[in-house]
Amino acid sequence: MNAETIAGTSIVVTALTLLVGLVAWSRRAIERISERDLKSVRDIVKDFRNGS
Amino acid sequence: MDRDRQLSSELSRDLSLFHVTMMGLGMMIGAGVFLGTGKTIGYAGPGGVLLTFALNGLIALFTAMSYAELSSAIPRAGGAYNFARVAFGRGTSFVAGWMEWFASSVAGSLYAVCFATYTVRFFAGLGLVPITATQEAVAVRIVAVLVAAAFIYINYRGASETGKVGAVMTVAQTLFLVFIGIVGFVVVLRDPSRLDNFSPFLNHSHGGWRSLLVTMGFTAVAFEGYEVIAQAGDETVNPRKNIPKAMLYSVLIVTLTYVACAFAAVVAVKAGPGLTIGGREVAPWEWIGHFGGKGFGAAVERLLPRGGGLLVMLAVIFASTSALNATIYSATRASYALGRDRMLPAFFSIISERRKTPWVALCFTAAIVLGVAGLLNADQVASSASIMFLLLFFLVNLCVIKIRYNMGDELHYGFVMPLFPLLPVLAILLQGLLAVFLHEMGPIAWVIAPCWIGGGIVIYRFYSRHRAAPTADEITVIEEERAPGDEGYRVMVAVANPDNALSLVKHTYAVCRAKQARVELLHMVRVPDQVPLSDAHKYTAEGKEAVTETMLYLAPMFPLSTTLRYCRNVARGIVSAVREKRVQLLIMGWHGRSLSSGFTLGSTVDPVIERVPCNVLILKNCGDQTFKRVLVPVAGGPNSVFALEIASILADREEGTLTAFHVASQGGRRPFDVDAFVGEHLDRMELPRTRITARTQVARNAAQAILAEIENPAADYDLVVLGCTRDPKLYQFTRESVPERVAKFCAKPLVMVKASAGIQSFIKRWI
Repeated sequence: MNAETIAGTSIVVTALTLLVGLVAWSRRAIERISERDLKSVRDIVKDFRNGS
Repeated sequence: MDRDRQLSSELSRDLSLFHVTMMGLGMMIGAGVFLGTGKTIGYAGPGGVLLTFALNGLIALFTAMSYAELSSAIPRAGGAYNFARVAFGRGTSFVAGWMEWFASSVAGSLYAVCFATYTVRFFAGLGLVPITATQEAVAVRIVAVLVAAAFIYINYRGASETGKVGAVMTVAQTLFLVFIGIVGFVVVLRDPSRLDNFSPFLNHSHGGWRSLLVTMGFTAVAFEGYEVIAQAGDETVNPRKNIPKAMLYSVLIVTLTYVACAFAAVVAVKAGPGLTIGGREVAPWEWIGHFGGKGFGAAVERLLPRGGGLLVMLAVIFASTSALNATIYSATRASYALGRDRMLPAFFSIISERRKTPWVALCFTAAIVLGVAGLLNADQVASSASIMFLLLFFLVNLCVIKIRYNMGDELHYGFVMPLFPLLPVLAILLQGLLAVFLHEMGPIAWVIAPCWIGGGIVIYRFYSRHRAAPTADEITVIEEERAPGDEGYRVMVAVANPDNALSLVKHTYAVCRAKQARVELLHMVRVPDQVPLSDAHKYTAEGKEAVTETMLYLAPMFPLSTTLRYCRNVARGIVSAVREKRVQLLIMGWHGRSLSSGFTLGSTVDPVIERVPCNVLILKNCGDQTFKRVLVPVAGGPNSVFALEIASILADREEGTLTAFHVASQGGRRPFDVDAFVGEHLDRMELPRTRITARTQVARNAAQAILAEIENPAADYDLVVLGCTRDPKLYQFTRESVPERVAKFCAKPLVMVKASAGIQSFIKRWI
C-alpha cells in the first residue's frame, strides 16, 4: 500500500467520520432546542455554552 | 372574495420526517450514482471515486446545515427564495426564486427523459417489436412527456400522495443500492485480492489529486436534495424539528450509499486477461471507466451476473421517477412562493380547495417540464440547472450568515449549525470553485443560465418590483426629509419618544459641535407582529412628536435630516438605517434595565452595539445636566480611547475635569500606565491635560472597584463614560463582562461607548 493510497483512504475515513459526527451533533442539538423550547440564537448558544 | 379566501388558505400539513427525508433522498439518488460513478472512476481513478463522493458529501453537509438552520427559522414554502428575501430583500429573492423554479423544472424534465430512455431501450432490447433508431428517439420523447404528465398529476393529488409515492420509490432504490454495497463488501471478504483494484488509487493521466476537483464539480448536483426539503416547510408536521433533521439525514444516507456503491463497483470486476479495450488488456477501473455513464451498470452486471442488468435498469427507473416527482414538487413550490408574495401574478398562489395544492403554479411548472422533455435537448439545459443550483447554494450560504447576524434575536430557530461562520464560508468558497469546474464541463450552460437570470431581472424591473407585497420582515420608510449636501461627519440620533429625545438633545449638541457634524434623526415605529403593516401609521404620533422636539434644538445649528420608518424589530431597523445612511456615530438612549432574558443591556441595545458598523454612544439617565466631574474607567484599547474623547466632549468646557481610572488585577503581569495612555491620546481630547487626572487601583474584582469609585463621595462624579467590552462573543454569552455589569448597577448618569474597529466595521457594513 503506497503513500497515496494511505492518504486517500485516510481522507475518505476522516470525511465520513466528520460527516457522521456533525449529523449526530446536529440531531442532539435539534432535540435539545426543542425540549428546552429555546428560540433565539442568543438563547441557544448560551444554553449550549453552559452545557448543562 | 372567493379568491381572497383561497389565497389566505394554508397547505395541508401532513408530511412526516420519513416522508421529507425520502423526498430529499429521492432527488439526490436520481441519476448521480448511476451516471456519476462510471464517469468518475474513469476520470479520477478507483480511489478518486471514493474521495469524490466522500468529500462532496461533506461539502453538501455544510450547505445542508445552512438550509437546515434557515428552514428551521423560516419554515415556509419557497426555500432559497424565502431566505434571500429575508436576508437581501425583494430583488435578490425574486432572482433566487426564478432560478430555483427553472432549475428544478428542467431537472424534472431531464429525469423524465432519463426514465424514458432506459424504459424504451429495455423494451427494445426484448425484441418484441422491431424499432428503428428514429422511432426509438420519438418513443423516448413520448414516454418522457407521459411520465412527466403522470407525476404532475400525482403532485396535483396532494402533498401526502406526493410524499408517499416518492417515499415508496426512494425506499426501493435505496435498498437496492445498499444491497449492491453489501455485496461489494462480501466479495472483498471472500476474495481480498479485489482490493488490488484500487491500485493506482488515483488516475494520474488526469492530474491525480487535481482530477478530484473536476469530478467533484460534475457530481455536486447529485447532493442537492435538501433544496426540495426546504420547499416542504408549509406541509411538514413540526417543521422546526423535522425539516433540519430530514436535510441532514438525507445527505448522510446518500453519501454513505454513494461511497458503498462506488466501492462495490470498483471491486465488482476481477482483474485478468478478459478485461480488454480495443484488444488491450486494462485494469478493472479503466474497464469500468470506458463505459462512461453506464459504467456502474456494467460493473453491477459483473457483481450480480444473474439479473444484475435488469435490477440496475429497474433501479434507474425508480430513481428517475422519484427524482422527477421531487423536482416537480420543488419547482411548483418555488413558483407558488413567487405568486404568494406577488412577485409573479397572484394566481400563482391559488390553492385548490379540494386538494390543497397550488394547482396554477403546478400548471406553469408543467408547461416548462413538458416543453423541455418533449421538445428540447435536455443535456445542456440540465448543465444550466446545475449551475443555477450551485449559485443558489452560494446565495443560501450568504443568507445564513446575514440572517443569523441580523435577525438571530428575532427568529425562532429549531437548529443552529456548529462552527459558525466557518462552515458556510467554506461552502461559499467551494461552491464557487465547483461552479467554475462546471463551466469547464459545459460552457454553453454559462450562456443559458445568464439568459434566464437576465430575463428574470427584466421581469422584476418592469413587473414585480412595484407589485411585490411587503413581508413582516421588511423595514419601510414612512417619512423622510433630507438636508441639502452630503458631506461631513454624520451623527445619527435614534429617538424613541419625546422624553427620550429631550434627554439626548443636549449631549448630541455637544458631540455634533465638536465633530462639526450633520445630524440624522431617526425614529423607528415598531409595529406589533399581530398588526398588519398597512396600519403602521397608527403608531407614528409619538415618534413624530419626538422628532419635532429634537429638531427644534438641533436644526438651527446643524444640517439635519429626519426619517421615520416602521419595522417589526427596532434594533434591526436602527442597524439597517445606520448602514444605509453611512453614519459615523450613533447616539441612542437606554432606560437602564434589561427586561428580556438573555440580554445584558436589553433586546434593543445589545444587538445594536454588536451589529452597527460605526461608533456608538448609549446614554443612560443623562438628562440635560452639565457634567463637571467625569469618571472614565479605562483598560486600553480603542473603546477606552473613544471613551476618553467623548468624556472630554461632554465635560463642561469651563470647569469640567476628567479622571481616567484603571483597575489593575492583583499579581497582573503587565502593568498598565494610565498616565502614559492619556498622554498618548491627548490630541483627541477637548480638555487640557491639566484637567485630566489618571489613577490606578489594584483590586481583585474590577467591576466592584469601579462601582465603589463611582460612589466615592470625595470625588463626587456626576458622569461615568465607559467603553463596551471587547471580550469575545462566546465569552459574553456565558459571563457578564465588567463594563456591562458596571452599566447595570451604576446609579449615576452613564454613557457607554463603542468605537468602530477597522476591518470588523467594514465587514459589518456589508453583512
